Amino acid sequence: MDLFEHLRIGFAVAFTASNLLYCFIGVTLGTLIGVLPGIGPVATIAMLLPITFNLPPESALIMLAGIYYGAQYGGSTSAILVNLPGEASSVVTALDGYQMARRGRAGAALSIAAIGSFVAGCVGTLLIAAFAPPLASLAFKFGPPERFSLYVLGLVAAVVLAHGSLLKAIAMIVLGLLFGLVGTDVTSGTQRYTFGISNLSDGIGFAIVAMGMFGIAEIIRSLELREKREVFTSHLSGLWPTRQDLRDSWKAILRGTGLGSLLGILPGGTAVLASFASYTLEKRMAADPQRFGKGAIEGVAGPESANNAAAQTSFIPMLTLGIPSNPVMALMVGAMIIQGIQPGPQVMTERPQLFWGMIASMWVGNVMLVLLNLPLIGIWVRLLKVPYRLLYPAILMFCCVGVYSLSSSTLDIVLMAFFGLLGYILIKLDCEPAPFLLAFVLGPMMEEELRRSINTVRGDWSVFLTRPLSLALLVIAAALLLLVIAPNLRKKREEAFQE
Amino acid sequence: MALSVRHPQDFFAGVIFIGFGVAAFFIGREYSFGTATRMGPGYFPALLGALLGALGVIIAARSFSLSGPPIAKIQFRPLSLVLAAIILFAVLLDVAGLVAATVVMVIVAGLAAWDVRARDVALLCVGLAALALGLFVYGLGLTIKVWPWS
Repeated sequence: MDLFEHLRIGFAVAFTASNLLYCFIGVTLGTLIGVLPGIGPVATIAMLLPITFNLPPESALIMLAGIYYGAQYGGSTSAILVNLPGEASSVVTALDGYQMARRGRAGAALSIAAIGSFVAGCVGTLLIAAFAPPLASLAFKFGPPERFSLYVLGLVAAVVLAHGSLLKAIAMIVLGLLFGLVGTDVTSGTQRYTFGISNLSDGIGFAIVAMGMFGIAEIIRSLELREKREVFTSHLSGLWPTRQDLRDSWKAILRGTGLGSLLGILPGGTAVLASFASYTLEKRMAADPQRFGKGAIEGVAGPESANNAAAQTSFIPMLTLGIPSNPVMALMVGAMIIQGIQPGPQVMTERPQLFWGMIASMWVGNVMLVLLNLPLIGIWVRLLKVPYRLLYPAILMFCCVGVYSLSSSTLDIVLMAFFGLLGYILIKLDCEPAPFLLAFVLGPMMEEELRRSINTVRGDWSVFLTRPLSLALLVIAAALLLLVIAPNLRKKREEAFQE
Repeated sequence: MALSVRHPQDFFAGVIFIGFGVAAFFIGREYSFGTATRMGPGYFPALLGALLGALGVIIAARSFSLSGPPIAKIQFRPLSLVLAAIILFAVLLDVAGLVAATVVMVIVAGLAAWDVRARDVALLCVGLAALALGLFVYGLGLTIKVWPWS
């Protein structure tokens, strides 16, 4: 069967010594930043982009992907032990995980989180291998109008699933699209919004935007908090869950994996959303919902499986259709473009080594993560005791030198500070930066497809509605928007986010 | 009852969106708009600028009727020190080299922590300057001015 042949190619790539090493570096770094609050995968991947320039594309993407799913493992550690989620996707894990830790059951919580994540990771890898080829063959039928409609759908989905005000999320998308236009227009050569600054004529590097809005803004925000950390390490005896724990949680793990995989594939789906949805689901399914928030093991098992499953399956739309479903995928798209690879369905056929190698490496990475996170948990716990004042200057140094190394321009560093300020202000005003970054990456591609569509039919805008595939995509986008605007569902959505 | 802002977050967000939208629209007017059959480079920017401005107006207008939480207090110490540290780094890099720029940046940024300690900042200066040098200059071969005299 094809699937096995593909996986064979993939594992051959993933098991070369150097790719194993980069996978290991990726997942280790991912765990590290997952454990540490105040720095997330978006900022880390952006900081490491310059370092991946000199690597072969396979190794670069294997490492960057490892950071993302590794962070999902690490995030649970600090959520459980310090009640301080290292990643947003571990916020709900803290609810019951921390309560378990307070009752001396930190070991069980940590191991269930790791086991759940591993199961989810394996299923996610298989799902990518199974679903990517049919999706890609569909994408080959796409012309410019379909691609434009697909981008619209992707952005609408990002808005629908973002939390907070819908209008503000849409405005953030439009703002992101506008910033994406800065630079030389590909078709006409016109300089747009460059203000005569030569640095801007190639456009604003997405790494600059990502480091500014997700790295610098986050540092400033973290410095405003005076956090106190209480680490439950003395209770860390008996890492293995009891038979009863496993019996209680295996269903939650499977449900979380299923839900997370589904939400990850949707454009706009994120690990954060998956973990919230899974927690809500588990609470609904439980015979006694009262236990939740007081150390229910299902409340750890479900969300932790869901966020890892979603982290894996969110690669599907990026790898097959070329549309990023979340900021991390937007950076992966950027990393591919830097390597000279145009993301889209042709990646699978033209570069099978890269495509299947990356997928196989995810399974390898998940095995490494279980080994890294369970026996070596003591090391990560010790890291949690490192105060933030020692951490953020290092992040700052990596951001500054990293940005400079992209194009040897000090102006880029100033630009990063600008995006840090913009991100900080927008977050204060409760505007999410994630849709902004997605739109920023998609902006130039979207304009290009729009122009090609309109120009080939001489200005007839109905082209988007007369082609069946394009129409279908736009109908789905419209339906999604309507669903959110409908008051009934809006209430439910708010409920889900409050829990 | 007097008209007053009841959702300050939305009000200021709306104002910012209007600002960017209007600026994008008017600067974008300089670029050729194209014709109905051939979109020029000014078409998409004008469309987006107008859309953003309109969204901003709606968001700001709604802030008079919808009520929402106040804006969390902005603490100027971390904000100004971190941004200043980055800009100082950018300015010093070409003039004084990587090592000096890193040291200045770490000191200025280090002051932003509420629990700042002199010994930690000193250690960070040495450690991070060495890391920047070792990783980026020797490790990745980045061509960059390292010392003030080089």
